[in-house]
Amino acid sequence: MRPFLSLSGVGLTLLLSACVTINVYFPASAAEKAADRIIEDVWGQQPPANPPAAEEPQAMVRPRGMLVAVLDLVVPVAHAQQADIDISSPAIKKIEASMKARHNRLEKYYASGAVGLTNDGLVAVRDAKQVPLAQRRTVNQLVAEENSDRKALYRAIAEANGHPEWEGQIQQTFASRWIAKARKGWWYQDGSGRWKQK
Amino acid sequence: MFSQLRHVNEATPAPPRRSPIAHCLAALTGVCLNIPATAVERLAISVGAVEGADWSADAVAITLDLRESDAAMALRAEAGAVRLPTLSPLSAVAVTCPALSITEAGIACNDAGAYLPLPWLDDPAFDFSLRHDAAAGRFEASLSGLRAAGGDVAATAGGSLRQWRLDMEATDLRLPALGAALAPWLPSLPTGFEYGGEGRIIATLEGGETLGRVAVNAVVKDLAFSDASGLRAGEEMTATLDASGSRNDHGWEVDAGIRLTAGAVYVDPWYVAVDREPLSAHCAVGVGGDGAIRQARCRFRHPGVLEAVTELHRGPAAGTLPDEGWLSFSAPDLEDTYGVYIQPLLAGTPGDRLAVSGTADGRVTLAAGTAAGAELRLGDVALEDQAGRFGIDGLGGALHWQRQGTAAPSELVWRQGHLWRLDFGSSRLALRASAGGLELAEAFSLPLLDGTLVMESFAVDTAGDGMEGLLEGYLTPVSMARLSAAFDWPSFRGQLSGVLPRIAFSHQRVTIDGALLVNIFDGRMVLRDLVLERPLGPVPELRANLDIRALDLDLLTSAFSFGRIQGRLDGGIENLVLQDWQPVAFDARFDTPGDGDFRKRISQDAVNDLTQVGGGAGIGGALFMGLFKEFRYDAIGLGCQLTDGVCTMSGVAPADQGYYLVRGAGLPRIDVIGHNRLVDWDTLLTRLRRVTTSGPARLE
Repeated sequence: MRPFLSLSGVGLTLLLSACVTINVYFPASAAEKAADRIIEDVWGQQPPANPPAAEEPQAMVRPRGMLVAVLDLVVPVAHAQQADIDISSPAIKKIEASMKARHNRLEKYYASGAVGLTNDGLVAVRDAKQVPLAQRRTVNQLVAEENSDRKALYRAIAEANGHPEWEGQIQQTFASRWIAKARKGWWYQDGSGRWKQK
Repeated sequence: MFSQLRHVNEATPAPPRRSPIAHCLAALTGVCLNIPATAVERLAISVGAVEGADWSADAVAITLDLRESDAAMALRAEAGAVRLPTLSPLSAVAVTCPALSITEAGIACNDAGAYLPLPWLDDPAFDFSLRHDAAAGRFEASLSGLRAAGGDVAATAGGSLRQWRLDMEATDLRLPALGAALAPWLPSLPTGFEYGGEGRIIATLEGGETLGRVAVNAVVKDLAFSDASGLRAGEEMTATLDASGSRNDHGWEVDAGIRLTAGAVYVDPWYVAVDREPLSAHCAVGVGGDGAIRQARCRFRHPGVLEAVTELHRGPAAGTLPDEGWLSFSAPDLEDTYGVYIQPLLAGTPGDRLAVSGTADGRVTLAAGTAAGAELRLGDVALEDQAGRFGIDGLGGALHWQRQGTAAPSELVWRQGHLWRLDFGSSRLALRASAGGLELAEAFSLPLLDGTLVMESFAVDTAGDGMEGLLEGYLTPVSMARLSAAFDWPSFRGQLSGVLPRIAFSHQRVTIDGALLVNIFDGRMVLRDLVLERPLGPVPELRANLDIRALDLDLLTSAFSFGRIQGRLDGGIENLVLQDWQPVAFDARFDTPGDGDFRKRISQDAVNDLTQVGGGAGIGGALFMGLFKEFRYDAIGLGCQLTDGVCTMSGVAPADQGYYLVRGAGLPRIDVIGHNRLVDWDTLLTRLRRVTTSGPARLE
């Protein structure tokens, strides 16, 4: 009995160790590229040239033996996603447009150091003294709205890609890309939360 | 000159005129001297050190000049170093009294001078006078020319030890210097806290053996302050403080009021600027002998914006602060109240961009430190979200809540409103609020477009994490034309109605069990598994499944100005996802039903429209087509699986290099064949819109 037991034990172990865990890995590099495209759009740099638009669709009716109308419901389609991260959903586009519109008002506060980029992909009032008293509420409001949009953006990207659980990783990816792409003179938080100037 | 100390021990013989002097000096200096008084005219005493229990003086020199007049003598006392409790050591202290009179009747010293190098005195020298009436047991003292904290200080004091009074006036004080002077007695300020301003203080203190009454009036101008972060700051403020306190049997009664007549304050996230009338706050406080506040009645007035009154007293289990009482508030114009006080709290939420008007007032009662009840009354309130997501006007009524027992009934009424572009009409909502939430007191019906949403029950649970609620009801028919117009959809005709056995909302998600039935085009559509995510967020998302049964294609195509097709259509849209009310994903499939007896015809116009939607040139080139206005068909079928903006198309059945969208029947036979499996959704929509709004170019 014993040899049989030990053999079957080994077999079981082999069987178990042969079980494959399938992980869906977060496409970090693609996420960075996606983040860069959004950041460039929001902060006003020209994104890299888009692939040329697909040709205009064509459809035609041609008789074939019998009277046959052929309908080509055609393809200006498929800007095939080169990256694995899709940022084309209406939700993302809408949030992006909202952030872009707000950036015109926020930019001067980044430049003065009143507002800085946090290490978790959001923004924060860093030095309210740089802002006249009467405008501090406006800055507070802009920061709150920007953060609301940013959180919605990270969630929307995760959801658009079918992985709501990626939200945190997308936020972290953005955190480093916002800082990497910040203009000279802007303030950001380092890993330990200390403010530094670019 | 006071700083030069003389170490002289000098005794000059003089007539025996001032016998008490020696005793006096002995008392003053603590040194017993055996001086022949009859011979003294000028006395100079030098002492190395004098010490008391908590003070000491080094290098003390006292000079008495007895030759001034018969009634008085000149005193000059100096010390090289003096140590007093709570003060840093003083060097070179001096007091001069040019006419000191010490008699049986009392002591008088007029026009005296002092030199006290206290760090907070701008000038160590000042003047004073002193008089003591021994018979009456009264004293008078005055102090003038004191320069401190950048300003002038004058004071008078008088009375007896049983009843005395001190009046003080300080003008042109500079606050930072005053703060520095008072630093040992004030709580320390946070690092980086800065402030400035100029002020005047008038104070009166009265008492006997202990302090009995204090009254202070202070006016501060150009007051500015800021903490290190700038999140608590004020600028260009003018403030007046009136405070008085008097001792009673229990402790102290304090009455204090402050008025801000100019300037602005920012206390994150609120910014309050004085523009019209002053802001004021006033408190009457009773403090017990143990230093704890027994009761307080306070009033805050921001004229036209917010008024609040609170009355609190200490419950049996309270600590140093009162924990029972009430607070009432009124907002005479919610536009200002929202702008100043409410909106900053809502920044970054759906409620942060509202146009608000109306009035509100309310009251919160407090028991054992927590809210025991609350009421809120609204008067003709209008709210309009500037992003257009929701709005309501003519909102009024009262909400009552209490932690224990049954609260008074709550009721809200309104004239009209909208949620996104869904207009709703006047209604009345009767609610019952309790500790854990809110429920419907009676059935509620809401006119919605041209139908009515009837809620038979409704309950909100606020006890848990966030707000959760349940709603049960039904929807009487709403015309699809109104609904589709509201959402900018192509104009559908028909009616929407439904039974909503359960609508649950929690964490920004609304889940609708049951089904909405759309009677449309002589067929019906059933909308089920509805979920609405973040309805008030930046991008609302709607998910649903849709079953479609036996639509009359004749009605459908005529409704959309599409070429005429006769027949019926079954179908379904599974996993429909709308973001911001635009479809982003679905799996749709439409087919000619296999059963039923109906006429199947497709017009030449419809074929044309279909090809135009497909981006083709149509069949106009085929002249002989004009002979046939319509064609028979066997089946129409269309599938579109939308993901990532691309529709993966399918038809009735596969065809050579494509798929049949229309499979013809009989003669002449027309087949419509799609060749491309992948179609750009936006392009498809644009074409569909063009065809359905302008109508196709008709072949004659």
